[in-house]
Amino acid sequence: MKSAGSMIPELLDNIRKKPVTRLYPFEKVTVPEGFRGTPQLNSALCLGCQACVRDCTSEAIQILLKKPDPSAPPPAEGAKIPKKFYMVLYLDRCIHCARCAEVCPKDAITMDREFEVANFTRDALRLIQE
Amino acid sequence: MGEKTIRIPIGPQHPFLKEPAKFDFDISGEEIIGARMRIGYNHRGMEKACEERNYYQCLYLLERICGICSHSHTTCYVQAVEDILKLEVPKRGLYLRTLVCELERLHSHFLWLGVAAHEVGFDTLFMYVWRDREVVMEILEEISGNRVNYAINTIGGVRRDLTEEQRKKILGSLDLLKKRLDYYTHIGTHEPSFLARIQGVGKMSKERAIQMCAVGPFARASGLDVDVRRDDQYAAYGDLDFKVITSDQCDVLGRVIVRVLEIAESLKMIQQLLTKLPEGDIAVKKVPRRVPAGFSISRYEAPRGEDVHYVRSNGTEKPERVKVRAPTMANLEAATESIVGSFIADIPIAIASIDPCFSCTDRTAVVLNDKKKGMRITTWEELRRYGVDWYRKNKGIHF
Ligand code: SF4
Ligand code: SF4
Repeated sequence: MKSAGSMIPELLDNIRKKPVTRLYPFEKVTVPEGFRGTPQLNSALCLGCQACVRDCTSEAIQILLKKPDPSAPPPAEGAKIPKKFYMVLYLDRCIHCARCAEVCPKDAITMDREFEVANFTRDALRLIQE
Repeated sequence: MGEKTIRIPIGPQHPFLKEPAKFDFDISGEEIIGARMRIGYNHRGMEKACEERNYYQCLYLLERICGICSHSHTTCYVQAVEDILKLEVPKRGLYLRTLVCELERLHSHFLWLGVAAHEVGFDTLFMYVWRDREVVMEILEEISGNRVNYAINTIGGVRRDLTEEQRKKILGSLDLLKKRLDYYTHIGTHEPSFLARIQGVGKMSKERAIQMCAVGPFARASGLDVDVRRDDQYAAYGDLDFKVITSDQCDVLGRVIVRVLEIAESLKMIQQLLTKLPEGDIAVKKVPRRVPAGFSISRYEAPRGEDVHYVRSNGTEKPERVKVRAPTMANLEAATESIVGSFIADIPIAIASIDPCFSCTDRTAVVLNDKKKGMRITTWEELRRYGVDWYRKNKGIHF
């Protein structure tokens, strides 16, 4: 059953090959199309239904009502002021599961392909998306 | 013999252990004559945390029980929830779920082979195996969006469909993996230096494996013919043609043989899944958020053995109880016993041979027979006696 030297052809074969180690971060790496990066809110679509907040696995999202802009011209008589929402995302808690994007009835949340999101302070990881 | 016995403790923190656990070995000379194991250093309270979260939040939490078998735990859990909800998962969803199961098994077994080679000092093989494992990792990343936590399962099916392009790409990579696997099978079973380190090490007889409820490749390497994929078919395994690999070696060599041959079976299954992939939906369209009261037990053949999830629902959005029995839990006792009779130098490979995952398995540990805390071990007979006496004294029931 034993046969010595079976590694030798493989070793010789590998002498001619280039190393497989990538020189990241000097060499950029790409991630595939469907990579789950950071959730991004398109506030024009958001209804404020809080479905994403309810299902977020790690309580990383807040959807808050935007204060009306005081400098904006007053709306016409009888017209409804559309409500605007913004998202506070605690990226230090987010586990990139994409449940928020899946559950949103308006597809207002999409996942980008960014993966270099580490930072030195937690404050920097608190993202406000309007 | 008359030789002095020395006890060496290993762990909870030790360079050879990737995760905390404690082993005590009694040695006589170089030979191990007794072994004990203790866990409880890495308890994460996930089962309790599940009671505070809704079913979807639990799904992604439970995925993080294990970094290698993440899909195993979610599948096991969603199967239980789907069972309570009486959901009929579409065929395509089941096929895709099974595809990820088998890809996960591939990467886990490749990983193990590398780790086993590393533990015996065969780092060349470790590097080669891990290089080729990257092929599987890249496939998984491409189809699920992440290398480790695939998050592809959802209650009632899967979340992502497979494109025709991806299907072709996976089929294309299978040949390369097959070729590499043949080579590793040859090395794993013929290379004299590797064999010398694994043959006859970590002996576990079939009878003892049955008595200690061993599971997975560890049990199959002791000649025990058990595999949930065949014995209690779930997902798409009923449609697949595959063999359950067993070996009568009863040692680490047997575990290498079982795992490398299982990789071959997984490759075969992936081929079948991709060629037979049915058209249709990938998930149930409308899944109720409230789960009616009930319970379910789900079994799943993870790469390391049988994984068991128990889910009890109470009609709300949150489960009342989720209980997880990871495969390492079933194998740890047996693995500890299997080391007896080997040498100190064999400890790393003997423990690594069950592919242990301590954080998956860990739970709070209570030290019994601790006089200071007033705890002691109660035997079955004592407990029976206590029950009889208690009812007689408190309820007036005489037997
Ligand atoms: S990706 Fe997951 S963890 Fe992150 S914000 Fe969305 S739901 Fe929460
Ligand atoms: S689920 Fe969508 S629409 Fe609802 S609050 Fe979240 S982002 Fe807005």
